[in-house]
Amino acid sequence: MLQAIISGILVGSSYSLVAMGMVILYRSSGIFNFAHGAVMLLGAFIFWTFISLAGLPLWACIIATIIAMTLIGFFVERFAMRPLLGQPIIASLMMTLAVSVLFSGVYQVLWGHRGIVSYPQFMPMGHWVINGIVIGQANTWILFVTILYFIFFKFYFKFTLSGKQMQAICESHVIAQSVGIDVKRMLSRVWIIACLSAALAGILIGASGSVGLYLHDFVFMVIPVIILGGLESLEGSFVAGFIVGVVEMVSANYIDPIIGGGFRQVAPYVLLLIVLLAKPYGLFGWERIERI
Amino acid sequence: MAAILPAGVRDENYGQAMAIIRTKLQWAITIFGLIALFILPLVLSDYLNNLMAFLCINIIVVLGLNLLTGYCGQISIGQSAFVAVGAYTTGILYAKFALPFWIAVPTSIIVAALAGLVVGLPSVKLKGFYLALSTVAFQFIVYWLLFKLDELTGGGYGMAIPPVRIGGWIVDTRLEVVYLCIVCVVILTYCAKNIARTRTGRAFIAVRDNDLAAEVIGIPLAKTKLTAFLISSIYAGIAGALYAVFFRWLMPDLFTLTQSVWYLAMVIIGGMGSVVGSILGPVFVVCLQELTRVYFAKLATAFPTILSVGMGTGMSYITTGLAIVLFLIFEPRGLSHRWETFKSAYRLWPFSY
Repeated sequence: MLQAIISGILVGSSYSLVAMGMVILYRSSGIFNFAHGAVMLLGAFIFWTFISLAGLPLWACIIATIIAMTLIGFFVERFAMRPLLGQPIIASLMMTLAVSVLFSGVYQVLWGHRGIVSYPQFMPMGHWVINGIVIGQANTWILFVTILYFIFFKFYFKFTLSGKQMQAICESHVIAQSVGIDVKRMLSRVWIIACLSAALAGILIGASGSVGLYLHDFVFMVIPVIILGGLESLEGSFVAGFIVGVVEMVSANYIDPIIGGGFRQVAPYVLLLIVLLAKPYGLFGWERIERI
Repeated sequence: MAAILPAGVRDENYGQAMAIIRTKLQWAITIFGLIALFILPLVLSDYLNNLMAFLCINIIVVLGLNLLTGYCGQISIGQSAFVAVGAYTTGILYAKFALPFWIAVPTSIIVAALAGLVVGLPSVKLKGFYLALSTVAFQFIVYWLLFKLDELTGGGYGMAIPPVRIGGWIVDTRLEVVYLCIVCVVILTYCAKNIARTRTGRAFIAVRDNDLAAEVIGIPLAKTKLTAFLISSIYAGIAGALYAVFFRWLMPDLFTLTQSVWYLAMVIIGGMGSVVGSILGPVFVVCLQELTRVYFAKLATAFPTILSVGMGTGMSYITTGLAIVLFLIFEPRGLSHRWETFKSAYRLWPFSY
C-alpha cells in the first residue's frame, strides 16, 4: 500500500506539472488548451534534435529550445488565437484542437519515422530502496521541479503586476482592457509561458523514460487532474495531480486483480465523471454562481 | 428561416409556408439530384464508391452532431464513441449472437441512445469546457472497454462481420452497400431538416443562444439538452450500424479521439446550425484528407530520398488542421454561409439589394 502511494505521488508529480501548465493558460486567458500535449511533443523532440542529432552541449540545447518554444508560443497566439478574441468558446476550443492536430502532423512528418527515442542521460536514473520501498530518482527530480514550478507561479500570480493582470484578463477581456491592461501583449506572454511550460514538462518526462508519441496523450491524461483541482486553481491541480496519481496506482494494485488488469488507464476518467457529477467546480475552482 | 423566395412566389396557405421544397425549380433540382445520386454509383469506380459510402456514414454522424453542437450548443468531443457503441452492438448481436439484422440494428440504436442519455446527464449541470471534458472522458472509457471486453469485441485485433442479410437481400457487393448508405443519408437528412424546423429544433436554438432566457419563456432546459444528446446519439448509432455493414471488420482504432475531432471539424467547416453544412463539411474534409493522402503518396514515390509514404497521415493532419484554423479565422460560419450568400446573390441578380 505504502509503495502504491509513494509511486502514485511520483507519477502524480508529472501529472501536476503538465496540469499546471494548462491551468496557467486557462487562468490567464480563459482558454482550455488541448494543444498542450502536442506542444510538449514538439518541445521534447526539438530538444532531442539539438542534443542527440546536433550533439550540442546541454546549456546550448536549453537556450535553443527556449528560443524555439518562445517563437512557437508567439506564433500560435498571434496567428491562431488572436483573431478569435471575443468569439464563443467553441471557436477557441476548436482552434486549440486544430493546432494540436497540426502540430502532431508536423511531428509525424519530421520525427514520426524515428519512433520512440531517448535522450543521453542527464538526470540520475537509478532507484533508492528504503525498507523495501522503491523510489525512482528521475521521478524524484520531476517532483522537485514540480514543487519549484508551483511555488514560482504561485508567487508570480500573487505578487507581480503582470500575474495579477493575467488573472484580470481571465475574468473579462473587455474590463481588463478598459482599466488599462494591454490584453494582447499579456495574452502573447501567457502563450509563451504555456509553451515553455509544456516543453519543460515534455523534456523532463521524456528524460525520465523515453520520448515518443505518448507525450501527446498526456493532455488527455491530465484532464481528470484539472477538473478535480478546478480549472482556475494552481494549487488545485498541484494537489489533484498527486491524488490522481495515487488513485491510479492504488486502483492498479487493488481493483486490477478483481477485473483483470488495465483499470489503471481509465481510473482517472471514472474519477473525472464522478467529480463532474458531484462537484463540477473541483476542489479549489472558482464557483461561479450561475443557474443553468 | 428567412429564406428569400424568388420574385412572384408567395405563400397562399400554411401548407406552402411549411413546405421544404417551395418552387417548381426546387422540385426539378431535387428530383434530378436524387436521380443523379442513384445513378452515380453505377458509373463510379470501386474506389470512389468506397469513398462515397464512407462519406455517407460521416454525413450521418455530422447531421446528428450538428443538431447537438450547432443547434443546441452542447459541445461533444466524444462522438466517435457513440458510433463505436452503435457499430459494436450491431457487430456483437449480428456476428456473435447471430440475431437477424433487423433486430440487431434497432437494438444497437437503442443502446447508443441510452449511452447518449447517460453522457448527456452532466449537461444538465455543466456548461462549456466542463461538458466538453466529460465527453472526452466518455470517449476514453469506451475506447478502453473495446480492448477490455475482448471476448465480445475481439480486442485490438478486431471483429469480423459476415455479409449483412436483410430479409432475402444479402448486402455483399460494394454497390449494394453504397445504395444502402445513400438511402439512409437521404432519409436522415430529411429527418434532420424537419427536426431543425419543429418545436424541438427551435428549443435547441433558444437554449444555445441564451439558456436563461429560454428557461424563462418555458423551455424545459434539462429535457431539451437531453433530447439533443439523444437525437445525436441515435444518428451516431445508425452510422455505427452502417460502419459494421461497410467495413465488415471493426477495430477500436476506427473510433479514436482524433476521429471525434474530425467530426467536430466537419461541423465547423460545414457551418454550425445548418443542415446543408452537415453535408458540405464532411464532403470537404473527407475529400481533403483523401486528396492529401493520394497526392502525397505520389509525391513520396517521386522523391523517396526526402519523403516517405509513412508521412501521409502526418500530412493529412497538417492540411486538415490548417483548414480548420483558416475556416475559424476567415469563415467561422462555414461553407453553408458561403452557399447562402451565393444563393441570395443569384436570386437578387442583377440588382444586389
